[in-house]
Amino acid sequence: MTFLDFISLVSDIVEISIGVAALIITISQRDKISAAFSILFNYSFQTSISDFKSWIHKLQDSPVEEATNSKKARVALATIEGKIRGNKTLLSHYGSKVLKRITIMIVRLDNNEGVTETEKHSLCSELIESVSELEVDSYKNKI
Amino acid sequence: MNNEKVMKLVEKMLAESDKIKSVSLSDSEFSNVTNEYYFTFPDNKYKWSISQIKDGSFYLFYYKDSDDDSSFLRVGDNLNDDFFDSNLKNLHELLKGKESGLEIVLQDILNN
Repeated sequence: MTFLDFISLVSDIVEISIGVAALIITISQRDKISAAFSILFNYSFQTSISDFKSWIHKLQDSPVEEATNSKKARVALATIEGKIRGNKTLLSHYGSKVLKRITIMIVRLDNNEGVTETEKHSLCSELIESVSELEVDSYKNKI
Repeated sequence: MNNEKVMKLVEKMLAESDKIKSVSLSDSEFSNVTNEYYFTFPDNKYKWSISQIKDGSFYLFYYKDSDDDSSFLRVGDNLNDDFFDSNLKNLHELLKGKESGLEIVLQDILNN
């Protein structure tokens, strides 16, 4: 056995030992690891939801009845639509009906077909109430 | 999207209404849409829906994935044409007749 072969053998033994140790730690501490991932996913979910809610509030504060001032509302609606489409949890929660309602509202703003403040507030309330339900469900799952 | 083609598409749907299949009425929960009819055309090849909102206007949607209702795409953007609107209204009426079964009854009576 050459010196290089010896070094290689030692290296393999060390590598296998580290692998086995990692496996033992993963199995014995799986509850803690799972909890850590759960916290991470939950944090990520809460961040997305907070951002989503902030866009609903932006929509709430943006006028829709005057065509010249409705640009902000259009941006907020398009962003909310994108966020729902891009997030599987939000998409399955809201479904196509809310998406279609937002799409129709954007089209009507684009065509100056008159979206009323009442319609906008109704949509915002539905979005907020529904997302609150989602947050409660998320906490329930955590407990 | 070519608006001329969209107009022809709706005309074709009306002219070849026997190729409109799987008509169903959506259980619309949201406030500004009254009736939404889902259907396939031609035969079971492509999925579509038409919505009527409270102000009387109609919206036509195409579904990229027939199993996914959120994969809709609005058809007929910026098409402010009275003839197109009137055709959408006729299509909506036609679907209403098909969904309720009235279309079959009328056809049956007229054929005899």
